[in-house]
Amino acid sequence: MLSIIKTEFEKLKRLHILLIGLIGMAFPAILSVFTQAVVTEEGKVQNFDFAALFNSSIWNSVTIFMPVIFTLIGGYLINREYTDNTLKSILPVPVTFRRLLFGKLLAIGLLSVVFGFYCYIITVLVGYLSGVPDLSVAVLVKSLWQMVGIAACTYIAVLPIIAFTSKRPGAFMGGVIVSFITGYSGMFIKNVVGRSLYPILAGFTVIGFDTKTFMNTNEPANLMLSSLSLVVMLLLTIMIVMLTNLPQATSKNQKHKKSNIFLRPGQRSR
Amino acid sequence: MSDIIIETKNLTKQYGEQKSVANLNIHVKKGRIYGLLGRNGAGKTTTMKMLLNLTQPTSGEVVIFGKNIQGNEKKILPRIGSLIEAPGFYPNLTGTENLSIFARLRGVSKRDAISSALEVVGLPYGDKKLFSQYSLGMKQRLAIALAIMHDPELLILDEPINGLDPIGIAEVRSFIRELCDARGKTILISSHILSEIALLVDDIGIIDHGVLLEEKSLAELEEKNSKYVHFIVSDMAQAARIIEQNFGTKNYTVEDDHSLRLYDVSLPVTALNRAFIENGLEVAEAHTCEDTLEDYFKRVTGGEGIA
Repeated sequence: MLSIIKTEFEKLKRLHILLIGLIGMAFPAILSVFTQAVVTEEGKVQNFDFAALFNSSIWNSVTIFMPVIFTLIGGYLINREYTDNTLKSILPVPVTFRRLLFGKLLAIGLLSVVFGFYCYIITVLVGYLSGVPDLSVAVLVKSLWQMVGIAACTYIAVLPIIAFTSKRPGAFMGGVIVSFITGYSGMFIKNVVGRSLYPILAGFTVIGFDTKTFMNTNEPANLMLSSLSLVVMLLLTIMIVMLTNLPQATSKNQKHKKSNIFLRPGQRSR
Repeated sequence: MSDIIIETKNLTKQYGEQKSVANLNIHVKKGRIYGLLGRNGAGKTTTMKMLLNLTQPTSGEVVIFGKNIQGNEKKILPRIGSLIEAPGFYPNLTGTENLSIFARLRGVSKRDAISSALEVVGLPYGDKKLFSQYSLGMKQRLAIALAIMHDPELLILDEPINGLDPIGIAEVRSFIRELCDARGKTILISSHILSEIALLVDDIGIIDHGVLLEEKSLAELEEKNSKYVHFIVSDMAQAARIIEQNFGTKNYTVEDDHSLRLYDVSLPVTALNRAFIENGLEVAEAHTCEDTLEDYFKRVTGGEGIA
């Protein structure tokens, strides 16, 4: 399994889709500062310090950017094995499709954590460059844990979507739409049980994120239920992968060659 | 251990109503090159995919190294190198990086395995050129390098000379022959380029519409191939009369007004030639011919679809 994970990282070299991830994961921080600058006085966060910037960046990441980017990159990395026609080289190694899928999902999980860390660095940079006050070690440490943690939790929340769409070539774009809707819908779930169980929001509870500013709720969500929700997502993913078989052609592939025996001119005339 | 490395038993693959491969029984012997010959769509690739467990057969068995492939994939597949259809690699990586990925997956421990494989196919090691920038011939060479990188005992190569230029074809033919002769590899190769198969293989299986029509050694085929004397004369009808009256045989066929094929090769060509000239015929050509693999293929498959 380790060799599969290592090769997954080797395959990322010069891959343009990562650029989309890097650009996309810079947006939560930029959007936070931009929103603070353009919003009306009533909507502004009164004390917009580094802690508030990190909170806003985490909120934007989870509800908009992370689900979409993780599903897009994850789906693309799985789908390219179909489009680049590499499965026929991997399967006779032998590496089973299920094992390959598990390896890929683990590698994409690590990549998601890296993206979380990248988002953290960008938030620090954006905050520093835009003059956000009160940068302290305590805020940096807490925010690092929260940002990396939320990246891992959000990835777990969308894992079943990535795993399910990996069953069919090209289906991952549908998964991206589903992930976007799933993430965005989270903003409208207010009650405690819903916030605790809804997988995308469960990560907030697990990392100890205070959603009060963003959801107008004072009652904290249930950590046990949230953890359970993410465990269920993991189990669901394992089940989906275990039930996944390599798609078999239902009709014989048509080769785009002349359906003739090739004879050289000399042979034809003989 | 049995001398047979690959054996299929009534191997069948059906897509809906259409049988792509029907009750196929092939036998690939150890240390020999077996050529699976057929038109495009004859079932060669499907057969090879079933041998590599890339496609599940509808019925029948695949036995490789004396074991059924089903349930023994981990034991059998690492001993095989393969190339199926067009090469499949990661376009964003160089040839060396691509091979490095598969070397890691295969657990290849030999340090120079990648450079040696690339050297065999004539590609540079550590080149910066990406796979997406490769020509078709280079892609094909890289795929062959991948197939031989882990030093497998058995090679399954589906149309390995596709896209190669004439010099490349000769090089590939030469090192495939060398792999078999010097290193004792068993090789199953498919092609629709008859002349290449004829130059390379020891045994031949002719497959058409998913059915194995013939399975013989090349030597047996050559023995079976008919020989004849081909005459081009000024008057075919008179030449035919001379053959019948002077030489007492009707074992010939007429091609057109000026040419005929005499299948009784025991008759002396010089005597026939003299008889034609003495009877006032002009003889433009007289030479002994033998059926080529192409002729044999046409005869076995009915000749349909030959370009």
